[in-house]
Amino acid sequence: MTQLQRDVLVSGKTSFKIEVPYKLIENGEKGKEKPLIVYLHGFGENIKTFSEKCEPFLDLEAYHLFIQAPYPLYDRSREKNVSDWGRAWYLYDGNRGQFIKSLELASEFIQEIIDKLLNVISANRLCVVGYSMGGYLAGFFALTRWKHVNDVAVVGARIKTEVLQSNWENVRHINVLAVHGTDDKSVKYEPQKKEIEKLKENGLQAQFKLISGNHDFSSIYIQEVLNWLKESGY
Amino acid sequence: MTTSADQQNGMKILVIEDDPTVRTLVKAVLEHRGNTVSVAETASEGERLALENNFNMIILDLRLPDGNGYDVCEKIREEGVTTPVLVLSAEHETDVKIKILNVGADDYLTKPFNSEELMARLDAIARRSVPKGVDKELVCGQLKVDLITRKMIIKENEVDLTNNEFNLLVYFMRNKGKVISQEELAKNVWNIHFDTQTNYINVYISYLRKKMREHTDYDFIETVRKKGFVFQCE
Repeated sequence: MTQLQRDVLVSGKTSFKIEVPYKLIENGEKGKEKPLIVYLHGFGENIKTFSEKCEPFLDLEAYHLFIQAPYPLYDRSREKNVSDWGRAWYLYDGNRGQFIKSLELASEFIQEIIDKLLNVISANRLCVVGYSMGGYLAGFFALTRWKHVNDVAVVGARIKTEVLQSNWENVRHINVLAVHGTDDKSVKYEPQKKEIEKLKENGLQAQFKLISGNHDFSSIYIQEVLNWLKESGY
Repeated sequence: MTTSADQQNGMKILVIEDDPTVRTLVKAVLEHRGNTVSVAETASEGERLALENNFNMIILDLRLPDGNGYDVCEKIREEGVTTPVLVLSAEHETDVKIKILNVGADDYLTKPFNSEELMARLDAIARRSVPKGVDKELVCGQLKVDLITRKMIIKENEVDLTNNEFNLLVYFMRNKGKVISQEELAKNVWNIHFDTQTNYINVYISYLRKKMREHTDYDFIETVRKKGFVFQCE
């Protein structure tokens, strides 16, 4: 039998669009200029679960934007509807390049939503609040989209200052809050504490709040962020 | 609802692109929407045009025959040009994208792109660039600090500051009303965490006071004996 020759003619990458929900809530006088607060949930959560947790923030006079992470986590038990599945913001296998690439793609996606909304709302300030996986993304987004971000609050994650490539001057206007649990086993607090020190040394207004707790976004963590937002004029 | 055509009507746009096909296409699309377009084929020509003119938008290719887009962007930002910059790049690498944002560009678009995508991106940048979110200036009575051009403005007089004077003033203005110790200034403005046994801080404060007094009698920086300094607005 004649041996057939098999060749890979083309191999590449392209993108695939999926629908991702987001929700914008306005609290306060309609049409008046006010801050925009973007909320980024953790791994395995979704827009519904996270917006419920974030209910205390909704009393602030602001636009509150909840975005769902794009990558679905399948519910193999088939007990949940697709809308109730958990989601993830990025792909991470321990490879730094893959991690940064995925963070950048997620940041482009968030920026696209914000850009679209700025067509119809009048925001005078931008804050990003992120927990865990959403916290890593919130920090990355703030440091790369520094032109548009005023404040960032990160809970149970590390702000990856290495992406700044020493361009500290660019980000000095950003107010930063990091909240971390003493018993956080998923993301240790020490590296985040160091990052906050680094930010402060380079002239940023950055605070690190260590509270008794684990890797969580419970009411005590939420209250810390809420207090900080109020102190910052929200 | 705002459309692309509405957003980009009558703007002065500089296109720095060496590829004649891309340059011609971009120019034609922008002119079709009623903009005035200037073109440059090299980095040096683009840099010169950007510095000598007041454009509303700059579209900048990354690879140019005599240099690269990063350097052009970095140079014009250093020279105080705040015009929004959209970088066109054939590179899909994340590090390249992050570097583009770090040098002060507003967004990037990877080639190949279609004209609608270009217009949508320019719309978004134009909206974001309306100075309403991020601190672009700090104000304290008759004193203003332009965070982009890094100048102090007192009673409409622009005053040039050295880097140290600028950083010191910004730190004071962001902490106005609060007593700030010499140690705090050393740490947050100069990144020095030990006692240098020199009076460099007093020296810089005296420089700053001197530059202020040339235009006002008001003493913004008050010495608090044995404690430090406090920055007060009129």
